[in-house]
Amino acid sequence: MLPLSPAFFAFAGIAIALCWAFYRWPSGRLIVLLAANFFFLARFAWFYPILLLAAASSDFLIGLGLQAIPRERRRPRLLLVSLSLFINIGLLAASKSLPLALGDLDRWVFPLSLSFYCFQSLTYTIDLYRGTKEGTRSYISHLTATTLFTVIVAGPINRVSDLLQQLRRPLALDRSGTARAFLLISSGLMKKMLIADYLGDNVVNRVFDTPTLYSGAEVLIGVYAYALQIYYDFSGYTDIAMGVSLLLGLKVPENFNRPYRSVSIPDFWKRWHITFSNWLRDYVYSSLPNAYRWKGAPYLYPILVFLIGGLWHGIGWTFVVWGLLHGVGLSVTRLFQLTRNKQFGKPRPNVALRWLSIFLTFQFVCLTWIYFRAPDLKTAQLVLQRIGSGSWTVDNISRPMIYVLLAGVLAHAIPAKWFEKAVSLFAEWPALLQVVAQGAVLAGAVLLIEVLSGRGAAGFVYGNF
Amino acid sequence: MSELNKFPLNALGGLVVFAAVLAGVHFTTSGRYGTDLRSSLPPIVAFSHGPSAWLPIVPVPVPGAPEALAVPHPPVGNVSGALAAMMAANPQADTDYLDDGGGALDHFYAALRTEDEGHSDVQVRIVHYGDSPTTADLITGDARLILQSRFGNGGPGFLLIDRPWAWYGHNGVDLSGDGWTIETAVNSPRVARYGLGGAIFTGSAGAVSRIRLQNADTTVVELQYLQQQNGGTVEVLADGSPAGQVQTAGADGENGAATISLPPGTKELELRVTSGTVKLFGVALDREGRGLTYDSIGLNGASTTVMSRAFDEASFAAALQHRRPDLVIINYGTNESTYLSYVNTQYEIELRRAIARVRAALPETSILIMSPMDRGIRGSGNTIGTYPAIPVIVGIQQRVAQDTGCGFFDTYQAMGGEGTMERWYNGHPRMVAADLIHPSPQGARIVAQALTSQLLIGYERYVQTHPAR
Repeated sequence: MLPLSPAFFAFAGIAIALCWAFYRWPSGRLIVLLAANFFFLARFAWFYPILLLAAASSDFLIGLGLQAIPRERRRPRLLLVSLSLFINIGLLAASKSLPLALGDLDRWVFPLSLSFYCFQSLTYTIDLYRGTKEGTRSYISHLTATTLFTVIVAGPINRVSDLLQQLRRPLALDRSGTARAFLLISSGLMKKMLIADYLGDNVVNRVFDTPTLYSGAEVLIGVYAYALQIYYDFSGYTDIAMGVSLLLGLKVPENFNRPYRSVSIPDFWKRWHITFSNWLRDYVYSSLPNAYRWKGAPYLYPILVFLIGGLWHGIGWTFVVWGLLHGVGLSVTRLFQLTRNKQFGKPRPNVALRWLSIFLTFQFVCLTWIYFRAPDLKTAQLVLQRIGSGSWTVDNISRPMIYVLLAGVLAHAIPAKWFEKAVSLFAEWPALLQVVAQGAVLAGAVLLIEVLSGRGAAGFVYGNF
Repeated sequence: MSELNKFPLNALGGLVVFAAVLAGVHFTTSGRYGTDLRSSLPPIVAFSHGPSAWLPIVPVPVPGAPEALAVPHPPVGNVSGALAAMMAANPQADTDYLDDGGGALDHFYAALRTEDEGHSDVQVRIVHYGDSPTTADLITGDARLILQSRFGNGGPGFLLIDRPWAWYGHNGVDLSGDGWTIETAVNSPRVARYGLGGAIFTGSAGAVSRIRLQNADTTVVELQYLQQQNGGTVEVLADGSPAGQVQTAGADGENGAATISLPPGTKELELRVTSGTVKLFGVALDREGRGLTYDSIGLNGASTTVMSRAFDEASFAAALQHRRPDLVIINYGTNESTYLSYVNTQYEIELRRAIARVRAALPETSILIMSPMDRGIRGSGNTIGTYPAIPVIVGIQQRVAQDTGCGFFDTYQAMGGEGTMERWYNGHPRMVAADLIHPSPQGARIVAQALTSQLLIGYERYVQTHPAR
């Protein structure tokens, strides 16, 4: 039952209806949501609810310990949080290394990423250790928050304490929230299935499977297409996760803010996979020795942090290079900005310079995507060689491919306020009209996908991580 | 009254409208679009069974060739020994996917036997015409390795002067060029003299072609060109030293060729236009002595009409007669498969015309029609099927081959028939690119093994039924 399958939406619809059926009985609602989470996990294999029940129970007990032990008693608190780190990082490492250990002939078929569970679960124990967030004594609430089915596939990465806080509140969903949820799910479906999947199947996979079959220009278009594919795939998934969560009365954080309009690499990481970069900053970077005191930290630590971030995506040299490039990009940009500001002062806003910065940042990000997408360094090198070959024929780029690429570029340029305006418009309509309109918009999106793409959805790119 | 903490009829109403619209569309379009709610609900509780329901580790089957077709990967193993053993164990071993009845390939088999028995120093030569996989020397490159490991290395074979397409390639050879104007027979607006390789390279003084030989196994290079009254001169350098000069001046419009011996161990060849303008077809990189050459002549996007129409008949015949192949393989069909109505009405005419041209040029030479591979097409619900025209093309090719005394190799069935590309695409490792046309190196090797093993079984059978005199 992969997200985006009709069965997933039917399941989510039933879970939403049942949750709301218990809206006057908070414990009942929690039990329904927890049952939905475990049902969702069990549909992949019974191994997962059992494994995550054990892991989440451990973190819950560790959380109880951290709440009970005063902050002055550092050693037992450190021991407890270390145990949580050991459990979650062990789980993460096992899930990453198992495919390598099994070799080529056996496949770990987990389409859910354990890493998103681990990241989320660690926020709870680390926040409690630091004393920055409140914990819970409700076992059911904790299990429900850590295994939330809407975000367990590929995020966004929530702070467990924030989810717990929301679960404590009465269910709330106003008309504006309803409109937002329906519009998010509609846009997510279209992003994923009309743009990302099309580009993946028709341009990106072909170019990266056999780069030598394509000219330099076609390979370059393939790389740009991958930049759009991964954005629309991941942000489409995030929109759906946010929309379904909202219908369950839960707000999950945004993950993207038009990342290809970034003016620098640090800016890119404020706009791309925001919850992941925040997680790296708050739980990895800030945990490094003297992270905010040592002068060399802003230049050396980003490289270290992004090497870890790269290896999280997969154990392989391509991800090492990807992480290294981003880490070095962050450090060099910071050094450049510091030196420039010292010598010339902060530059005044300049439209031409801004667009040049956007262009250069995008090219750099695309360069890193080559390593991210290529199955190995040899293929990445072939892709770069083809681009540098100077062959500029585009016979393999058909007109529909160009239309979808342009649609991807234009959709990325749509101002965020347009979405907010649409939400307000729906919420201001008479109630019955809103009911019909939002249902019709979602159904229209599904029908449009059926007519134009005529196929089911591919797996989410970030579901692999 | 606050809207919070109130049953969200608004949201649930929206879900009901959504489901109703999809169900309504499903009903009114007879199931083409929309959603059948009854079929959406059962998958929710469709738990898998068996061990994978508990542990998410499953063995991934590696798609492979049928066992009967398996030949040791080149260059490991003794192909002849394996085949001899197979034939000894099962004298009835059959060529299920190769139709060589009526002695269609006897000329080729006889040439192989002469080679095998060491009666002469004459090489066995195969010329393989195909489309994009052949352009990249996929399938042909592996077939060359397998057959050369059995019958001896006759050299890399025919090579174009430059890369007309980014993916043009030849196993064991690195090619680059500069300063050439390239015209190919594909999508050509006119009938023209394209020599053996379907492309002509026009260059003036300074135009250069560099050929790096990875195995340093070429002892002789033959430059093939179009003669012109004021044809220019090409200098051939071997590892940087002059090896010879070729004057391309001659009777206007005739094919020309000049052979230059190379020092042993030559690793790099350079062809440089030193004066005037030349029109070159390609080079044949051969190795003197016994052996087999396998020319891969792939034209990207090519269909049978390239051979039946675009090649100037006389020039094509002269090029074939000059190269003197023992077997010509005609391997088109994939690019035609997009046009079913064309296949139904015109394809057979073109195929017969192409065969007639080769037959007229080389009456004794064996001709093998090699069918296209399976070609995948994406359907609804993430499915991949077979292009409807592919089986039709295969059927026409088989019938025409029988009518015209050609051999026929059914690539489509040998690789698994209908739905093969779905299995190859979803398999692990994936053996076809996302376009569901171009095989990966592993997929290409399987097709090459299928082809060569069938040819070798056919040859062994020929040897058994035609005792040496």
